[in-house]
Amino acid sequence: MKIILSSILSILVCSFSYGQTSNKVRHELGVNASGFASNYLNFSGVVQSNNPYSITYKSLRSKGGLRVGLGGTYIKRDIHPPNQFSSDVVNGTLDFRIGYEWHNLLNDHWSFFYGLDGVIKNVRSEATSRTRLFNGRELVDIDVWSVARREGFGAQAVTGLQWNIKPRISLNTEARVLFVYTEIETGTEFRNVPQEVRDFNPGVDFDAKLNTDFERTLNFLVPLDIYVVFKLNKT
Amino acid sequence: MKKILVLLGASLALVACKEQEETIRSAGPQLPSKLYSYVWNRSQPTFTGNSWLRNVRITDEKATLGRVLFYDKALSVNNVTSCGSCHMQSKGFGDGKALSEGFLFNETPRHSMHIVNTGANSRFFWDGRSVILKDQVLLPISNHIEMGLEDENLLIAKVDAIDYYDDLFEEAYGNGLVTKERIAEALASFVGSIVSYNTKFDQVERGVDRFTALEEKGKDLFNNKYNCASCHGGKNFNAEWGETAFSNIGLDAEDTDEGLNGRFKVPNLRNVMVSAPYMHDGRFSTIEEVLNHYSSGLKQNANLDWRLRQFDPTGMNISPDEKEALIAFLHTLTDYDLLSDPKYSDPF
Repeated sequence: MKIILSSILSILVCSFSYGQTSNKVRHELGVNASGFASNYLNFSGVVQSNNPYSITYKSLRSKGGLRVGLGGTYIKRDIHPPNQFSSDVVNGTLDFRIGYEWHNLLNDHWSFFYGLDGVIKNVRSEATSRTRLFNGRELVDIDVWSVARREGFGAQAVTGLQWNIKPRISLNTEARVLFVYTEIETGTEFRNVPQEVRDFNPGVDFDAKLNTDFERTLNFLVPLDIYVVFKLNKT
Repeated sequence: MKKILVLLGASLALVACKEQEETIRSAGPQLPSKLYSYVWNRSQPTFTGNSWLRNVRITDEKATLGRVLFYDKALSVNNVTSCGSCHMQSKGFGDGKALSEGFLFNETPRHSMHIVNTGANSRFFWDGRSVILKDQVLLPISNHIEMGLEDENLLIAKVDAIDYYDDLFEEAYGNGLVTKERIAEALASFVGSIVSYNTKFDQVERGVDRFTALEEKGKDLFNNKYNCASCHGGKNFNAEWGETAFSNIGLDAEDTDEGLNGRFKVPNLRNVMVSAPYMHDGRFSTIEEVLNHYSSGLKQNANLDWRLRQFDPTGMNISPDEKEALIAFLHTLTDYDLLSDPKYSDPF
């Protein structure tokens, strides 16, 4: 973990210090247009997005510059089964990257870029519900909280192509080699369990059970996503 | 300001009321006064390959209890998923998704297998890790992605606290005692009773219907030229026994999922046309994509099934006309009676 965090910090320091060599700064804002494009470019249904960053920002000088990406989802569901207590389930993801990229103009319309990023990749799902158990005399409602959480840190090497359609608008796509170290936590916690319920159900383990696991993944991700890039200023 | 405070107060009161009023919506299962018949009759094929069927006698009472358990979301830790969430009757007891969603709406690592004629299965799950249906039916309940009820004692306590199970256990077992073994047996009885025997294919076999010319051509291609039946064999269209029940069909040059030593269970093809998507990871969304894979998409790898090595390295080169005929034949394996029979439907 320390190595990963140090690597991310090093990338940042390098990017900022390298960025001081030129004063001409070009700001680019990218929007992931894969969902929109897939309505028109669906190759037998097999094309799926694999780049989680909805919005990217680049602050570029003559040879390269800082790059940032942010993406996420948040879904809250309130579920009412016909014969049981309702359940609130929240699913959220957060994807963040920050790094440095170098770019080369191939001709008037095409440029090639490559870079390194530090990556944060978090997924969190939580549910709150209730269950009803005997205490020996009557039924008692117990709050139940469940969680599945993945907190990942990593780094990626990136290479991509950009098609500069107009002075202010471009399209780009990129391939990535992504390494992520992920801490995975899953578990269930029973809250406000009366002692009587514990005594009546001695076989049930009401203590919080959080299982922690770790995962290292290395993925080669082909360029499936298209970004529409808006150049915010002229250089 | 006063108006705002009043509105705020009223809103809080409403929220508080809602919180206090939240109780279990007590609609229990809607069951017929005369139990449905789940016990097989002599006109049905038996598919009695699996040992659990020799040890368990399906009764209407046990299968009825199993049906309620199968569709009861109380069997998940947060009351969100039931077995029926991923095994829907209308989709051949599959769920129509490449990967299913569990109790926290996180994806399962593999595609839900469709359920039919489980008595002919020698192993369960894509990697065959379970050999007895009574064991298999409890594993999704305790799975940390699927239903999340990891503590079997909590499963028993939850079921024991639900009033409509008193009578159901009483009728099935003579008393209301809830045990893990009884839950498993009842679920296995219901799942085991899901038997398909009335497809057009069966009717042709019984001499009460005839294939069209296209279906006949498809059957011939299936059994002879492409010998699909070497894996999807018999009346159950699966490979029932031993090593041949698992196969690597060249989906990837490098295995992305280990399965059972690089192989996966050969699925039953009954109701195949309503149980898309296909393969252990649900990668093919249509039967045409599956046929395209066998025709020209095979990837050579070390575990590739010997039965597929007889063809060209990339596949069987199935012509468009032949694909049409094969699909017509596969349509004859759909059991519409099973897909709409109320005795298998969600009682809640």
